[in-house]
Amino acid sequence: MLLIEELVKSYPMKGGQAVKVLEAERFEMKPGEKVAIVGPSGSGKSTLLHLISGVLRPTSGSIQLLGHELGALSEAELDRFRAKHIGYVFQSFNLLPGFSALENVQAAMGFGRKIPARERKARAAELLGRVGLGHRLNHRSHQLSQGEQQRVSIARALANRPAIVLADEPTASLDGANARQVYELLAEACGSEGAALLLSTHDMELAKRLDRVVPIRKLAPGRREDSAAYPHSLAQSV
Amino acid sequence: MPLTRIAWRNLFNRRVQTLITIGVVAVGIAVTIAILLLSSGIKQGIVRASEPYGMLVGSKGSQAQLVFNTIFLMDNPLSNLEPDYYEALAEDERVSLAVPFALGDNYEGYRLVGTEPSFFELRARPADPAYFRLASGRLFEQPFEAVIGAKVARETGLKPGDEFVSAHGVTESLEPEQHKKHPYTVVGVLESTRAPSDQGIYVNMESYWLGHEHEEEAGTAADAGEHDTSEETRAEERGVTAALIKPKSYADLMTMYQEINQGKDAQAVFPGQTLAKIFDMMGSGEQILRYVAYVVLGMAGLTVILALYGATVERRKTVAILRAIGAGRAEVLTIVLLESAFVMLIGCAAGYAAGYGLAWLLTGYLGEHVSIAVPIGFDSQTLAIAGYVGLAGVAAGLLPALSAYRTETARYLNSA
Repeated sequence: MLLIEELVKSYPMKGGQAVKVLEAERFEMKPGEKVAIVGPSGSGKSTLLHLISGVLRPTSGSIQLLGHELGALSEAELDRFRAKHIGYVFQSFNLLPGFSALENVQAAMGFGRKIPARERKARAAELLGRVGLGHRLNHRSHQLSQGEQQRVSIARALANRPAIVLADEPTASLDGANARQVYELLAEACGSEGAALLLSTHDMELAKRLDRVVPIRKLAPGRREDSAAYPHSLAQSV
Repeated sequence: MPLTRIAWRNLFNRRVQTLITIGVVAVGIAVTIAILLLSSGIKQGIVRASEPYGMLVGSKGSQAQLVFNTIFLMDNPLSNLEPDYYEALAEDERVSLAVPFALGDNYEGYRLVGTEPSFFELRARPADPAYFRLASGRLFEQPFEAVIGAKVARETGLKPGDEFVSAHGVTESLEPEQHKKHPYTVVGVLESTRAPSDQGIYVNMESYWLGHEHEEEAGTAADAGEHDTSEETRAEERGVTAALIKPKSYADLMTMYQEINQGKDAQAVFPGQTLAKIFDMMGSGEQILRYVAYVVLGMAGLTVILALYGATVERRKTVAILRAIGAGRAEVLTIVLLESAFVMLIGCAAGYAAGYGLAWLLTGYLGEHVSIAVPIGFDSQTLAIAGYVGLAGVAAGLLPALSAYRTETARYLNSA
């Protein structure tokens, strides 16, 4: 379902040098698989997820998702592809400010296709009910606790029945009990919706509950010791 | 979720900022529209008030003073025309109608206008009905009967059958010199003309003169016969302040106009010409007001840009979220443009309504104080102004919209 090969992301610096923030030789995921990418902060986990979602373009290399080479898609096509096939859960929840829980979930269903308002609302309410927020549908994001906000975020990620959900440190902002609940809810919801889950975390205990754990440093094992290829301290930690 | 709903929700989240922006736009448009409506309306009102008056003849002096005093019942009267001069004018074979006016007395600040019944036959155009029509009662038939304007009746409560005592002078005084020996009886009330004539009290010329002669006699008797009530004094008292002259033909009109102005006894004026000169003078003031209104509009425009651009900074995070959940750049651009369109639409509509409301309030004030009816009707220019401002505001929204369009999604997704 997902195949990454020879992926490099670097940023140009003054003086013609480039800072390489991510390198991955090969990474593959099967449909419905749940994989945790682990590594310390700044190791490039978020960058990897941004590249897979298409909000960032790689410097070189290939990302194939559902048989589509993302680099070959135009930006508009990539936007549509993301809207249809990818769900996103963020560390800082990233709910739309001032929108209710219901509106936040519905907002994700408005791009790229026309879904009747009644159907959209019913789907959003169903998802929010499934994450335990059936009684908080019309509460604005600032009226919800952090755990509740992340649950809304999970419901929103699943709104379009995506093939894959990318979760970027989804429990990092939550306390232990909340983190475990959200983690289990995310894994369970993805399972019931048939979506694959690629989750980044630095918490090994939680990561071990998924199908597979991949340390980010192992994505480019051959080049890990090549200091010339990693001029930036962040990359050296990979 | 429709983009319009997202745009509306974004505006609601910044409601204080949004309301201030809408308010500034509305004030700018309201001031501009009110100035436009009033400036054209006042001109129409003044022109309408002078419609039944053709050529005015009065003693030498200010043309504007003659017009304002006779038609608008404002300002002080010029000195009287010599009685012989007026009589010669009225009997001139080229004249079809001569209406005399004598001004100088008041009742509670409302001016008494000595005239003749022919005054009530005046028409704006020959085919029009009489300009002054009775709402109740009848016209005066003998001395010391009065026909009062609609506003006089409304404000003083006078009605047919009531009596009142006039005072000397054109304005109300704390210690009025009253013509107590000759009270007037109200015999008729005019329909409102929504013109300064609503503020007039129309009396027979004879009664006007008699009142003054008798006061003079009483005064001279008190002065132990120092002065006599000579024929000379009486003749002086029987002068007229101004006269409306309608010659039989256009050629007669122009000949008489030139003759009168070339002579040393009087001047002839066409109210329309005098008003045109006054409008010219008003024009520069009006132009300044328009510039002020445009400056207010310009400031409103800058406020819109500032508000929308300021919002782009806090909007970046929202834009990044929208992009991450599937919104394309075009959709983000559309949302921001919709936000500016909503602000401008509401601001323009509110400003348009407020402009007409403000103009309506001010016309009420003008009507109340100078009895000039200022017609306020639909003016396509006002709609054009609101439209242009609205479009300019939406165009101003392009700047923040492009900024949102260019927002780097990944950069703002992980920010707090």
